[in-house]
Amino acid sequence: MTEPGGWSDPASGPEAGLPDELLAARQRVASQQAQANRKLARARARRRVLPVTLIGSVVLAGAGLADRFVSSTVHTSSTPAAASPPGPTADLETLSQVSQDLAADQQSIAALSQSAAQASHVAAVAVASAAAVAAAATVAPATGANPMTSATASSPAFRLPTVAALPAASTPVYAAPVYRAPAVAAPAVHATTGASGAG
Amino acid sequence: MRADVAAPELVGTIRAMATDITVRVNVNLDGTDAAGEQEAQAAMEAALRVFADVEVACTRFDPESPLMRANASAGRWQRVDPLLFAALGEAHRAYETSSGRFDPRVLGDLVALGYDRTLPFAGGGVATSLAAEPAGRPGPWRPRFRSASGRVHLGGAGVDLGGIGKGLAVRWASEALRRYALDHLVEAGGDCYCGGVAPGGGPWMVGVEDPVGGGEPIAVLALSDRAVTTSSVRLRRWRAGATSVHHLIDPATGRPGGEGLQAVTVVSDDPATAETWSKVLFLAGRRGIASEARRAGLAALWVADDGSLETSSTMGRHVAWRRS
Repeated sequence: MTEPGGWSDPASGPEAGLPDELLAARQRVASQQAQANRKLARARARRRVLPVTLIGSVVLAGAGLADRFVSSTVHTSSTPAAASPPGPTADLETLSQVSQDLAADQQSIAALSQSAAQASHVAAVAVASAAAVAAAATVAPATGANPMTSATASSPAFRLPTVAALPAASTPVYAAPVYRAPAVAAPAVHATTGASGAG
Repeated sequence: MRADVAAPELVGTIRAMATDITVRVNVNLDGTDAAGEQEAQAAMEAALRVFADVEVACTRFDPESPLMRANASAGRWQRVDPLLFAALGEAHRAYETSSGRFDPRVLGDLVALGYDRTLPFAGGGVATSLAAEPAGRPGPWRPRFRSASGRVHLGGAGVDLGGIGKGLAVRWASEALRRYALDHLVEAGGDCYCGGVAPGGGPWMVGVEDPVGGGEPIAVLALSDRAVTTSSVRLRRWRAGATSVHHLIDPATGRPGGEGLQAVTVVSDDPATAETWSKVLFLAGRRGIASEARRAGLAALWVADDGSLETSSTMGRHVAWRRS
């Protein structure tokens, strides 16, 4: 029985009378060829599965970031400062309320910034991994190196603005709107009834 | 008396009953009907003359007036002026329909408060001498009338027709005008009659004076074939001794009534009815006026001491505008 490539079984084929050294060499070559074939098969499998996995991960990470942003609570003051009773005590209460609102807003911004940084890091790692896998797939048959360990993903240097670096926003003081019904003038009259003449 | 022809309406004025009287007739004065214009002029003058005649017959400030002569003989039969005879009959009708809450026998109470002569209320700061204690309340008023002879028996007590006289004058003036033109307006201080439609075809618009003062009305009424009268204490108030009083006397007490109210306006078919009931409702005071107006089915509007404005349910249809 002839193997593909012109090679035949050394024990039963016409090679039965060949020297041992030649047979051993032929076996080493066959073993290396089988090992190479297995590595190629694994690489093909990685090329099929990894991109799908990575793209899915990126999508999930993006969805998580969006969800975090939408679900986050933005603290706002529902009471206009001008609606507080007048006086020094009222002013202090208003200032305290504004400070609390500002602190809550800063916490929200910090949480959003952290989420954005984490999501960006995940996305950068995923992109770099995908590039490394693609590169490794092309060199693996020759080097036998593990592409996942040899590729180094360096995340970009993200530095979101800190809360302290944000421009100080002056909280506007809104005057409570006073509703005034449109003044409708009295229609013209032909006569008047009221206090009768004096006498 | 003055009557001006100013197309498209005829306007006449007169000063009577301590009030400026204005009569307006909505007619077509285009010069094509000279006879008609003369007739309109005659009706106008007749209407204005009614006020002068009623004042002469019914004033209590002239001791020689038919009314005061009748009051001087209140305990016996006497022949009286036909106009006074009619006015006394209407006053008694109002007394009965109001169950005695309108009673012209408050004359003695007004005199006791110093209101026994014309007082200069327009200038303010009026003061009279001692406010005497009111006399005991009289029993039921039972005057008697003999129409055929024009004789009357007042039942022993003198009367004041100030609470109905002007309304009667407006009624009679309107009747004089109606023979010529249905569309007319008679304005006599707080008493008005709005016949037919105003120039332009809409209802007559009558402003209700703010009893606190100011030039803007508190409400405007749209009226057609309706009378409107206001009883107010804005002008006729004074100091009697150390007491602040006004001219709307409660017959049950002999003292000024209408606690908590500044003015009451009533709309009715008839000017005299509107005038008497505006006083009756005023004397009910702020506590009782709503129920009184509802019980009598009156279209009423009143202003309380705090300036608040309220109306009865039947007044709503007449209110074209009210201050917000």
